[in-house]
Amino acid sequence: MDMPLTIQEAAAALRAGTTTSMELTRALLDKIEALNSTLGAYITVTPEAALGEAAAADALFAKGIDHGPLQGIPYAAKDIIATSTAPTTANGTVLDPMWGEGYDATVIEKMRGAGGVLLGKTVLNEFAIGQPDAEKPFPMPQNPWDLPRTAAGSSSGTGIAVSSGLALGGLGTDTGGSTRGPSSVNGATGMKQTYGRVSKYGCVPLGYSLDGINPMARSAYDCAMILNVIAGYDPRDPTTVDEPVPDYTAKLTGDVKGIKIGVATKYFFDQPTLDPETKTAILAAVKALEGMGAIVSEVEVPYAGEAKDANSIIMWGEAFAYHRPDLASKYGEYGRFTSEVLGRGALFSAGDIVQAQRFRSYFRAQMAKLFESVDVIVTPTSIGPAGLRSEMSPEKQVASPGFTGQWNLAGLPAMALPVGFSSNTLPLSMQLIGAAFNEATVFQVGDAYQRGTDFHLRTPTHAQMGVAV
Amino acid sequence: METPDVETTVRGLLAAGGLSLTDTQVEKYVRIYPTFRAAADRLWDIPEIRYEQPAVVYKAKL
Repeated sequence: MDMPLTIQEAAAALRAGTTTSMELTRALLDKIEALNSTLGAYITVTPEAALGEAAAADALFAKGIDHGPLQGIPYAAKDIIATSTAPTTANGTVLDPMWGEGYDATVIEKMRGAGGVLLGKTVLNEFAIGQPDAEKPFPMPQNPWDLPRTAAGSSSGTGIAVSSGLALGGLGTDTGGSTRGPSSVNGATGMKQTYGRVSKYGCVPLGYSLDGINPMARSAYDCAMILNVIAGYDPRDPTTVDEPVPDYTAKLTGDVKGIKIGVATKYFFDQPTLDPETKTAILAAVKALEGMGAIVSEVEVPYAGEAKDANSIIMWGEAFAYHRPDLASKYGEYGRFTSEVLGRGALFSAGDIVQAQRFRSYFRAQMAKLFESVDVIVTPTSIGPAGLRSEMSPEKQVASPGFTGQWNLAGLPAMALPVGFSSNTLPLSMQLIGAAFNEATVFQVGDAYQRGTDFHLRTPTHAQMGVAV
Repeated sequence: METPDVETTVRGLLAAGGLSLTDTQVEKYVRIYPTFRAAADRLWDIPEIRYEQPAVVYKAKL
C-alpha cells in the first residue's frame, strides 16, 4: 500500500476498498516507532487503543455504516487535551497527574464519534507557552526538515507528525500563534478558527479568552474536514457559540473568481527583519490567486503592533491567574523558560489588562470594518523559516515582530499554509485571515491555491530527518 | 515622590504576585520589564479607545 498523504486521499481509499483503517494505522504506528525517537513528535503513543478504533472503523465499513469522512482516519492530539485512553501532561511535571483522567475533551469525543483513530498525544511547549527543555523528561521536538532547527510552538509535535508523515492530521491549540507557528516552520497547514467555534472543554487553559483547539493537516481541505467534525456549540464551554456549522468543504471547488484579497503591507510586509524569500514566496502566491480571478488590493491593519502586544498582555494575565499557585510553590519545577514566561503576568496591573480588553473591542470593530471591503487578508505567518534552536530565547521572541497574535485578539479565523521553500529547503508560509465565522472563505482561498501547488504535499527526506533509509 | 528604579519595581510586582525568586530569576524580568511597560503604556496612549468598553461579557444568569 502506498500511504496516502492526505486525509482526503485516505478517506477516498477507505471507501474504494483499496486500503483499510487497520492498514493505515499499522503503517503509521510502524513509522512512529522508527522515527519518533529522532523527531520527538509524540509523548505517548497508544497502539492498542488505536488498533481497536481502526478495527471498529473497518467493521463499520464492512456493515455499510459510514459516520463521515474521518471514519478510520488516524490522527494525533496535542498532549494538553484530555483523552480517556492516555494521561495528559501538558508536557510538564507540574500539572496534576489526575488532570483529565478518565474522560475525553469535547473535541476528542467528537473525533471518536466520527470514527477517527487516535494514535497518541503529541509534544508541545510546556503548558502551550514554554520552550523545549532538554533537562525535562519529555521528547525534544526537532524540525524534520533540519533537525537542529526549531519546530516552533507550542503545537510542535502535531506539526512534526503531520509534515513527516506520522499522522494524517491532528489537533493543536492556539492562543497567540501556537497552531500556525508550528504549521509554518514544519510545512503543514493549520487553521485557527473563530473564537467560540470549537469547544475548549477538556483542554488545559492558557489564555481563557484567546485559546482555541484547532485542526492541523497537510491541506486546507483536510483542515476543513476536521473542523466539520469538531466545530459546534458545547454547553460545557460557555464561550462556544450556538450557531449552525456549515459544511466547510462545500465551497472547496478551486474557484476564487471575485474573491477580494487584501495584502496587509504595513507592519506585516515592511519589517526589516522579514525574510526576503518568505516575502517573495507569499507575493508569488498572491499573484497566482490573482491569476485565478481573485481581486487583490492593499489594506492596512490599524495598530497591528499594539494588537500583538495587547494579545500578549491578556494572555500573560490570564495564564498567570491559572498558574500563580504553582509558580509560587514550584517555580523551578516548570521548564526553564516556562516559569519565566508565565511569571510575566505579574508585571502588569489590573488596569493594564482591562485597557488591553478595551483595545480589543476597538480592534475587533476596526477589523469588522476592514472586512466590509475584502474577504481575506494575507500576511506572512512567521518572520521567516525555522531558526536554529540554539539561538532561540523567550527574550528574542518578545523583541521580534509577530503576525499571529492579532487574530487571537480579534478572535478571527486565520490559517497558515505552505507557499514554498527557502534556498536551504525550509518551508515558507503565508497566513490567510477571514471575517468572524467566515472560515469557509479562508478555506476556499487556501484550497484553491493548493490545487495548483504541491508545497503542502512535500515530505522531508530520510536524510533531512537524520535516519537511515 | 521619587520614582522607584526598575529593579525595585519588578521586585515589588513579583512579590505582590506571590513569587519569591532568586536574584538570577529576578534579573530576567528586570531586563525585559521596560519593554513590557512601554507596550502596556502604548495602549493607554490610543485616543480612539478613551471611551471604549472592554471586551469582557458577564451574564448574571447562568
